[in-house]
Amino acid sequence: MKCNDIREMLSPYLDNMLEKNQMKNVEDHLDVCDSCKKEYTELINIVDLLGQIEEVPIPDTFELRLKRALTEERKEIDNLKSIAKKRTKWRMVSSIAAIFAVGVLSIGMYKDIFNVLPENDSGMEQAGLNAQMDMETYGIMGNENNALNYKKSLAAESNTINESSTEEITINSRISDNNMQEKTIVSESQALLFDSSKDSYNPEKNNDDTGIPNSFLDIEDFTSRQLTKSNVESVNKYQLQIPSQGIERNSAAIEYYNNLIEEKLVDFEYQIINCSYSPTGEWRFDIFIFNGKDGNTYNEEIIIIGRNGAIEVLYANEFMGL
Amino acid sequence: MTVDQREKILIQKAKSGDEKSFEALILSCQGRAYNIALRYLHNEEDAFDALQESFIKIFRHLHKFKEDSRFDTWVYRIVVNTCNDILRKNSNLKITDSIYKVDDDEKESVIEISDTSRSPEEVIVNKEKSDYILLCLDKLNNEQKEVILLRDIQGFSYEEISEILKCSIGTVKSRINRSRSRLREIYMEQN
Repeated sequence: MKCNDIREMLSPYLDNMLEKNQMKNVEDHLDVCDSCKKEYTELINIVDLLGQIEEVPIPDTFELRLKRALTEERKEIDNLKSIAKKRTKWRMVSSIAAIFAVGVLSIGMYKDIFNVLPENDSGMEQAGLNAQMDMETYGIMGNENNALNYKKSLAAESNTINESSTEEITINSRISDNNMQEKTIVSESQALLFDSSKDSYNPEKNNDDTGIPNSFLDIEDFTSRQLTKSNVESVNKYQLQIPSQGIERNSAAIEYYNNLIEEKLVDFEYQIINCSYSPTGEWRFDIFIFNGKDGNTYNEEIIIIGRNGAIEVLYANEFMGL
Repeated sequence: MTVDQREKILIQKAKSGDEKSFEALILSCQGRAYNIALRYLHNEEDAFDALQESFIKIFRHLHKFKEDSRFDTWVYRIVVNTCNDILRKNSNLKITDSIYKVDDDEKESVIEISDTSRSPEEVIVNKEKSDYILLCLDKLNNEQKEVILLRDIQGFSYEEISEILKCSIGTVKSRINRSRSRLREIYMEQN
């Protein structure tokens, strides 16, 4: 056998990892080749030296430090689990409360139309409280403009709509378990109800054409109205559709963005710890990253923004590869 | 009860959240794990960090451990990967001291490692050589250093190394051969 071939086999030969016939070949070659024998001797020397490196005992302080770190880790995991449980519970409770609130307000709105709209016999339909209260209806109401634009134009013209940073969205129980913070829409859905009678809806002119006093669209007015009618459709009918239709502040939007986030963070270990919506039309997701796709531990929060049907990582550790 | 059975019981208890069982499990491999990290990262503090991070990962992902494989090789795999992560993160900041110096006439020669603390009679020759071989080891790339560390310093078998590094035994054989060969070259250049 040639020296080059033998030299490739010296290590496994030393470690007794060759087949018997290969071992024989190497032995025979080493008997006659001084150069290879020299290299083999040097190899043995190196391996011996490495084998003499003593094992360093682990310092005592390490055990204490590890115990402390594990306790902290356990607390953090328990904390996140309890946040998840609380949010699930809160979501259920506020879903029920929101369903009730929307029902109450819808009835209030319905009654209000009868009181406010002058000589209009189609109050029932105008209220939008029929069984067709779905995306098509919203489309009729605002097929060129989404609810947000409608509301903003109202606010710009009338300054009566309360655009507080705490506006809320109703989420139904269809939402997946991802710890979303709930919000309840009151202003938009109610304001939209009024314009269902308009065939050629134009939100820009609504304040002039609807005949509805601007003050009527004040949220505070809504909440104070008394219910007398009970023919309110299921809250499910008020579910708003996919963001591509323009209405983003809804349960479907959260689910939509959640799917995008799942795709983005497919190999990550994470938990969504907060979800909020801003009046500027953005969904903000606060996400706790346990481990990255490379297997590294991060234990850090990142922020993902959902806007116009797309997500963007607003802040993340550069090593995460996001 | 065999060692394997005892280990299986400890794993089951640790999986269900028993901290004492978890501590007992890692007790048997923490010494070796520490030395792997120490030889990888060269200083105690980094080795501490790597070990702590590794054990937290193990704690967090224990439920994923399949009991048909060995627990200790799983632990060492995580330690090796964690050390590689730390080295990668620090690679921009790390300043490697070369064992070579450049003289005024631009010829490279080896920095002499002088022993000033002991008389010649007290010098432990082998320890000096061991320290020196460690310096030479540092000249290898991470892949080469890793396999030398596991085979020749820690004494893992080829099978164990293939489990730790998740590669075939054939790959382990060729990596060990190439790495030792390279280390020998570096070492012999100076002698």
